[in-house]
Amino acid sequence: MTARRWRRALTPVAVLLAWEAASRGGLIPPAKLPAPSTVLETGWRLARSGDLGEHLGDSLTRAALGLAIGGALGVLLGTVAGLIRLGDDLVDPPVQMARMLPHLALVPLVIVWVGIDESLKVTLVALGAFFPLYLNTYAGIRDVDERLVEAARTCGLSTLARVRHVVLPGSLPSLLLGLRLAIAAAWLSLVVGEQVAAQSGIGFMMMEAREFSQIDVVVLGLFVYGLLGLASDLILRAVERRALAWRVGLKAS
Amino acid sequence: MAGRAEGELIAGFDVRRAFGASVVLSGVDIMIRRGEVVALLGGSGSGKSTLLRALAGLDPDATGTITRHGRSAVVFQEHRLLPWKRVAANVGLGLTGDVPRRVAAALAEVGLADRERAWPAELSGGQAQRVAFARALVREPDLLLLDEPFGALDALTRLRMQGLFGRLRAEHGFSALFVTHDVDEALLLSDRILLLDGGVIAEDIAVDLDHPRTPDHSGFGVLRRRLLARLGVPVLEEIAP
Repeated sequence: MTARRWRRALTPVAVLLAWEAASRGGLIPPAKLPAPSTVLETGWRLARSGDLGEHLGDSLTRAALGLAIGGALGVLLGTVAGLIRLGDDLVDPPVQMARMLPHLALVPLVIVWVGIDESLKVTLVALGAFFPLYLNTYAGIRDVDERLVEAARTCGLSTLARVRHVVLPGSLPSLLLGLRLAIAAAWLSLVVGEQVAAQSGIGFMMMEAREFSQIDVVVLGLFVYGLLGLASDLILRAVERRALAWRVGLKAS
Repeated sequence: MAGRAEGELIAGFDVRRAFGASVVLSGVDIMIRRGEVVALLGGSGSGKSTLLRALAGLDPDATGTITRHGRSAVVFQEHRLLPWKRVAANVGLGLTGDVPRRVAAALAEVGLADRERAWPAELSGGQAQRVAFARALVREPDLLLLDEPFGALDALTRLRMQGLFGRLRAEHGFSALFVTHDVDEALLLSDRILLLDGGVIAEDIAVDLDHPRTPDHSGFGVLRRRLLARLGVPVLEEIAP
């Protein structure tokens, strides 16, 4: 297993080394793409000065706030629509219509509504996070095996207890998938949102660096986005391992 | 014990159920008394499971009068354990009181005392069905309703489960109504066989054979041939070994 893991790291490391060698050999002009070592150096410099931490902190705050608002709304409405027929009839049609719009196309409208400061960024993240969580919560609840609900009924469980013991745990895998997609949408929303009249954040840092032709900082921003995606994926995997431990046996067989 | 006239546990009168234009149950009268094990036998599509679901109160579209006395529990063909709950939590689902002790006792009775902490996905088919039995037994039912409870098991596991059912029945004295299409299973386990045909109970046959029963029991073959003939299966002359 570990041998395989090392083998999978081979190509990324080889690509980095080739990139470094090509930069040093003069094959890639530094004005177009700096060497990875230069980017790392820049990262170290900005981290020590505290600039990087500040930008990163602002970006993370926006992502967390937007995810919390949009995600909570998505899960709440998805649950209402999934569990209650009236909720389904009232909530689902408008959401299904709205999800056809790419949410980033709403930027001009959102600017008019909430202005160009923090609320714009948070609103965009919330919009991005809402749809995947709504859709997957809804689908997860709908896909719960009706026979299990029936068996719980024969065990004397009330409607509320059936929701708690059968429907919600049964929809958890789908909900976690929704969370994964919501986090990806949150980063995407931030990339766009922080390029509109921001004073801080990773996106702003990259925009500003481009103005001054600091390509190393631009590439550093890309690295940070990549690492953020990687980190959120690792955290989610850990959460899934704990919350969905009951599926371990399924994987083994 | 008031209200349990003549030890009657469940009674259905004029039970009817149609799926669209096809009528499956056209006025079934059925009654299970305290202490008896009744097999509900019929060909596939004869409405056995439909009748059992109606009696269990799981089919809101079935009409007729159904009266139940005492506690009942249901075992389905599939184990229907909640995959996200460990075995003990599945058995104790919806129970109150001294749950851990009762759960442990029920699991010990089906021979799975050491699997309390297992996930359902880690169990074999036979083990999962035994847990489903424990989940029903722990409720101390007066009547057990079983929908082809051994139907999804392999032949050897099925024999073992039939033996387990007989032991549990002897120990707890519950009544049972079980759906099966297996004539031998009905003859091995039941005191009475109800034959469902044409949407009604076509025959009500007492099985007066001593326990423990085996297929080479005298009298077994006679009843077996009669039931098979009634089910439309031509019985050939037994070939001598």
